[in-house]
Amino acid sequence: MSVLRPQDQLPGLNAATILLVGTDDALLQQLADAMLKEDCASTLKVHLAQSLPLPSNVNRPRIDLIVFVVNLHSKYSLQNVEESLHHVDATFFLGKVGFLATGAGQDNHCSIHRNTVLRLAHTYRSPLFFCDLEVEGFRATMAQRLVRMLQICAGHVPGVSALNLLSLMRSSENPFLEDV
Amino acid sequence: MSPQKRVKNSQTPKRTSQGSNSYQTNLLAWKLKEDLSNSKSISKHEQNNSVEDYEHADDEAEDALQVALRFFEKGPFKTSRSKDKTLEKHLKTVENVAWKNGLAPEEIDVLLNVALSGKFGSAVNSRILKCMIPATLISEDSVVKAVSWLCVGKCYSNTKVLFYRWLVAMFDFIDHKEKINLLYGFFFASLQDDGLCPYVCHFLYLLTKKENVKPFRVRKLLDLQAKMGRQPHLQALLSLYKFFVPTLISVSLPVKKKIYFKNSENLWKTALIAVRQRNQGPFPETLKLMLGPANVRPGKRKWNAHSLIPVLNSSSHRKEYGEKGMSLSDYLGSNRSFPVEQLRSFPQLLQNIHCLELPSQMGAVLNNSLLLHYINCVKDESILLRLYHWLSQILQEECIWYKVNNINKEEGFCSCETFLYKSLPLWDGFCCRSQFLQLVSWVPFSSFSEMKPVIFDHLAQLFFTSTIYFKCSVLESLKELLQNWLLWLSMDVHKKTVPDSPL
Repeated sequence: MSVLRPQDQLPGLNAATILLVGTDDALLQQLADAMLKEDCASTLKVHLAQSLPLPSNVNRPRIDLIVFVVNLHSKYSLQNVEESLHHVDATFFLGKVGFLATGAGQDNHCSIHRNTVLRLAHTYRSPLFFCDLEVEGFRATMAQRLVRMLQICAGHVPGVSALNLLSLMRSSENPFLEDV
Repeated sequence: MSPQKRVKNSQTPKRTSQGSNSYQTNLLAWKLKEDLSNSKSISKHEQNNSVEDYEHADDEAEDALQVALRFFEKGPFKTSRSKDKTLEKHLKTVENVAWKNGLAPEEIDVLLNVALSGKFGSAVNSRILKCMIPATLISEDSVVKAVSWLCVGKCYSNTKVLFYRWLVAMFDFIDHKEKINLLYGFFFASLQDDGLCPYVCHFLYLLTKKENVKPFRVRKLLDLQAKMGRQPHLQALLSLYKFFVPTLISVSLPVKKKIYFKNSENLWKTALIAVRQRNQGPFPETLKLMLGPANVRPGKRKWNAHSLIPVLNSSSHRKEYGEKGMSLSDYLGSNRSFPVEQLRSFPQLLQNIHCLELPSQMGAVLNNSLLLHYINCVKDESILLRLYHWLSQILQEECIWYKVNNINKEEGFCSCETFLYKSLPLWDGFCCRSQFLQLVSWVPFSSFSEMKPVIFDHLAQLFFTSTIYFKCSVLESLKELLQNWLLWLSMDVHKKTVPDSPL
C-alpha cells in the first residue's frame, strides 16, 4: 500500500477529506484550522502528513484532494514534495492534486525560484497556488478556496467534476512567461 | 497705494495672503478682480490701525530690541565683566522678543550677519541662531548674505551645523528661493564636510529643482555613498534625483524607508507652529477645498500623517500672493517658472503654460485637474516617466505582499502593468480587490495570446475557486476592460493620421 489511489476506498457519507503534505507542521496545522473554520455543507476532514507514503496499517477515509505545500525558503521542503509525489497514483492527477507555494512574498528569503515550482506543477498538470501562509488574512482566503476545491473534488457540487475544474484552470502551454 | 507702504514690512504678507484667500475660494475670481481691489483698500486701512495699537503696546520691548540690535551690529568690545552683563542683557531681550512675536525680516538680516560673522563667541552665535524666529517671512537676501559668511571661514563648525538646521527648519518661510538656488553648487560642495553632510543633504533635498540634477552631481553623490556607506540622507537625496531624472540613476535605492532625516529634536518646533499660525491662519481651509480627495486617507495605514498623493509643492515656491494682477506681458517677459501651487484657474494655466514647473513629487498632479490637462497637452515623455516612477514606488510601498517582506533591493517597476503582471500570480483575490481589478481594467490593448498567460490564466484560477462575489467583480472589471479598449480603439480610428499604426 505504498501508492495512494483515489478509488481505494468508498466515499464516506457527505464527507470530504483533504490531505495536506508538507514539512512545515505548524503552518499546515494553521491552514487546517482555517479550513475547518469555513462554513461548509460537507463534513470536512483534514489530514496532515509530513511526507508520503502514509503508514499502511491505519484506517482512514477516502482522500479527495491532496495539496502539496512547498515552502520556497527551504530546498528540503521541495525535495520532500518531489519524493512524496512518487507515492501518488497517476489517476490522482486528474484534478485531485494541487500545489501550494508559500513564502513568495519574501523574495530575499527564497532559496527556490518561483519558476521551479511552476515547472513542477506543470509537469504534474496540476494547479499551483501562491499564498504566504504566515499571514492570517491570506491563509483564510486560501483556506476558503481550498474548501471550495475540495467540495468539487469530493463530488459534492452538482455538475462539476474534479477533472472539469482542472481543465478550466489549466494554464497556457508555456507557463514561463513570468519573465516578461 | 503709497499710503499703505507705511505698513510694517512684517505685516505685508499677512494682508496680501488674506486678499488672495478670498480670491482662491471664489472660482470666478479673475472676473471680480476690480471689486476686490476696492474692498481691499478698506480692509487695509483697518489693519493699519490695528498695527499701530499693537505697536503701542510693545513699544518698550521694541525699543530695547533696537538697542540690542545696534549693540550686536557694533560688535564686541574688550571683554570685561560689565560688558558681559550688557551682552547677556541684550541677548535676553532678543530672545524674549523673538520667542514672543518673532523677528522682522530686517532684524533677522542683522542678527544672521552677527551670528555668522564670528564677532562673538560660538556660544553667543548659537544662542542668536536659536532665536532666529521670523515674525512672518525671511528675506532671501539675508540668507544669501549669511551663506557668504560661510565662505570666509570664520564660522565654527557647530555654528555652521546650526545654521543649516535653521535653514531646513525655516525653509518654507524664506520668501524667494531663486538666488539661493543659484548657490546650489556651493551647498553641494559642502557635502564633503562630514559633519555638515546630513544637514546639507536635507537642505538640498528641499532646494533641488530638476535643472539642478546633473550627471556629475550624481557621480559625486555615488562616490560619497561609496565612501561613507549607505547613509539615509544621501539616499534621500539620490532618490530625489531619481524622481527628477530617472534615467540618470541606475542604482537601486530603498523604497521602504520613509524617514530619511532625523528631525525629532527640532529646536524650533513650537516657534514654527506659531509662525505658521501667524502667517496662514485661514489658509489650510482653502487648501482643503482645492485638494479635496487627497485628504481622504485610508484609515489603516499610518503614512506619517501624509496622504498618499503628495501635496502640490514646486521646489521654488514663493509667497508673492500679491502679484496676482501681473499682466501677460509681465509673465512673458520673465522666464522664471510659475509655481504650480499657485495655479488656481484655467486662464491662469493658459497664461503660464510656457513656464510651469511641475512639482518634485509627480504624484501631486493627480489631484489637480489643471495640471492633468497640461500633462495631456504637452505629451512630454519625461513627465510620464516621472509619473510612472512615482507610481511604481507607491505601488510597491503600499502593496501588501511587499509589505510582508523586507526587500529593499528591488528597483521600481517601470509601470502599473508590470506591477500587475508580477503580482497577479501572488494575489489571493481578496486583499485590495477593487484596486487590483481596477488595474486590470486599465491594461492597455494587446492581443489575447499575450494577455492570457500574464493575466487571464491567473484570473481564471482565482475565478473558479473563489466566491460568487469575486466572480461578479472579475466579470465587471473585464467588462470595463473591454469598454476601455473600445474607447481606445475608437480614438485611434479618429486620429488615423499615423499610417503604420498597430491596427
